[in-house]
Amino acid sequence: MKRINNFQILFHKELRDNLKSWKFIILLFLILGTSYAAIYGAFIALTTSNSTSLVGTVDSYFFLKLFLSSDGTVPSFYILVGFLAPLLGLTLGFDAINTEFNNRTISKLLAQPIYRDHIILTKLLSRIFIIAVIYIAIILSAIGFIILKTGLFPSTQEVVRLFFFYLLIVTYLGLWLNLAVLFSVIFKQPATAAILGITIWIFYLFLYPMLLNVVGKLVNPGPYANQYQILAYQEFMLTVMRFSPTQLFEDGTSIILSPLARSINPIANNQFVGAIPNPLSIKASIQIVWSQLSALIALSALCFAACYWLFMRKEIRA
Amino acid sequence: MDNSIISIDNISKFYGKHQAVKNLNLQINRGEIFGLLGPNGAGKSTTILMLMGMTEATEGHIRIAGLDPQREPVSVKRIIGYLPDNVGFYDNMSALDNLTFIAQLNGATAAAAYAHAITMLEKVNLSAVKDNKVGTFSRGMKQRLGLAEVLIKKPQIIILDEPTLGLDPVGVQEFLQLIKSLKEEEGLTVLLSSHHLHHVQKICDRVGLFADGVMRKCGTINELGADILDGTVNRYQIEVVDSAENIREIIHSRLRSSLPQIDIRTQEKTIYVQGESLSMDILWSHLKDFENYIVRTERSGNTIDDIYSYYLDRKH
Repeated sequence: MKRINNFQILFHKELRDNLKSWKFIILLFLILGTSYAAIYGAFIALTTSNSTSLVGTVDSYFFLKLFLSSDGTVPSFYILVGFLAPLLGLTLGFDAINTEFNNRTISKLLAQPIYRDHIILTKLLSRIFIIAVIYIAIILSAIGFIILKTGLFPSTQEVVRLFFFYLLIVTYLGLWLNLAVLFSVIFKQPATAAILGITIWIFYLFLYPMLLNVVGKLVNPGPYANQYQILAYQEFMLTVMRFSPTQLFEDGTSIILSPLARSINPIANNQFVGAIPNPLSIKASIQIVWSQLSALIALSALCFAACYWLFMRKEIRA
Repeated sequence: MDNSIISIDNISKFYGKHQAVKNLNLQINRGEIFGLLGPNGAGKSTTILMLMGMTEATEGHIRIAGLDPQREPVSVKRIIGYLPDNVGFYDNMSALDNLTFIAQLNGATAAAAYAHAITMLEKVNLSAVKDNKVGTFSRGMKQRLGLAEVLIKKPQIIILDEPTLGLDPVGVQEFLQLIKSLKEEEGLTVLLSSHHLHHVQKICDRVGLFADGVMRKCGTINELGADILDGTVNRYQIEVVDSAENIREIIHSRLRSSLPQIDIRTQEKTIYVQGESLSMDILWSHLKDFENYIVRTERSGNTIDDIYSYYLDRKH
């Protein structure tokens, strides 16, 4: 029988531990329930408000709108991912390392013939794998549902854009997961790591928009401002908003899922002159949000580097 | 020929400004049970972690079967089985699953790991509870499972850090017997760290006395004992069949007639006699009448208690 290597053994164990944990099962139901509700709500809204989109034309981008639209009662899928999915990353990661120390299994594990970085890598990769499987399952099942209900098939453009949307979701959740694992390396108590992670999540969810509101009122150019002053004000506000990972994710998503969207920044009327209202290629859309995507990847890499470095240097005491 | 399997050459370990281990030199031979004896915080566990390559020695060199734990930690961990102080388990997994997981990490295929795990659980008398979650195990059962995890690697060296901590007396006896049998049957080298003097004395070939990060003395119990006997005051202990208190006065009065400075203490069935110029011949000349009442008479002074207090309590 072929022997699997130690990395795979650790990876499988992590997968098994996470998938069997109650916290994961509860959160999975929450994520699946809200996601399917959002997608079904969007489906109902799209089919009732715009029945012409069901004739099967490829330029209707029905499959993209499914993840972008809302029926008004449930937020759209991408908004839900933006504010609810971080909870999945935080829940999976907040006790990844500190539990090994608290249960005194770390010294036993490190006494086995494995490289120390395999521990942190398998903890991260197994959790990212779980996130990736959950969201690919949601997206594919949603596509399958639409095909069954309408007979429409996604165009190549839609499939490619949905694939990039999926990568964006995994990257975004990877950031929150890396942050949670970082806290689990820093803090001995899982509760402390969890509370700090949730505090940051709540800060960006509620407090940061409130703070921006206050700042917005302070720097508002007033009702008599000219077009350029208003434009500068809008750009300033958007720049400040983009210090939030959720905003970066929503910027990226709104462009990737909207082939007709040409900018995420405010545009002056004269900039529209001569523009042909054709859908953009996926390459052009990615170029628009490249800075947002690279910021998300960079933040995620930074958190990963920090937790890797801290874990490798962590002193093991008997 | 050099028979040492563990060779420690002048190692020191600093945690910040605190020096946990100071210039330690030690050789441990193949097939030997070596006891690291010392109070809590003496540096025993830090030394063990350095041997395992789990923490880096600030100064000095270590060789485990010719391997450097700092440069080749994975190779070293293949030949060492380590049972940490208060070993942890994955409580949500069964004993069998815990053991199979460790076996697989040590190179066994899934089928071989399962077979080894079953064998090891039998060896440590845990077969009946192999499918129970480890979270439900007692401290003694966990220690035995820990030993099974150590043995499943088929190591050349076993390092046990305070292995008898928290075990009941029967559990301690069983555990120590198991360790002794490993040396005798499989020729394993055992490094045992403990602050329980009698556990060390029972099974160790040699003992290293550790305090404040310094190895104060190293040798067999007899060698260490011989060093502290000053030759003037001699001590004997007499084990009797019944309460020692019953004959204490009689023996005291007899011995006092020839040795005025004699000192006698009793504890349950043992009489401790101490005095200048006291010898076994003198003792027996006064105890002939009690031959049937006496189980055993032996010279003391080289017990592990004496050695411990001499080197560690008095800080020589």
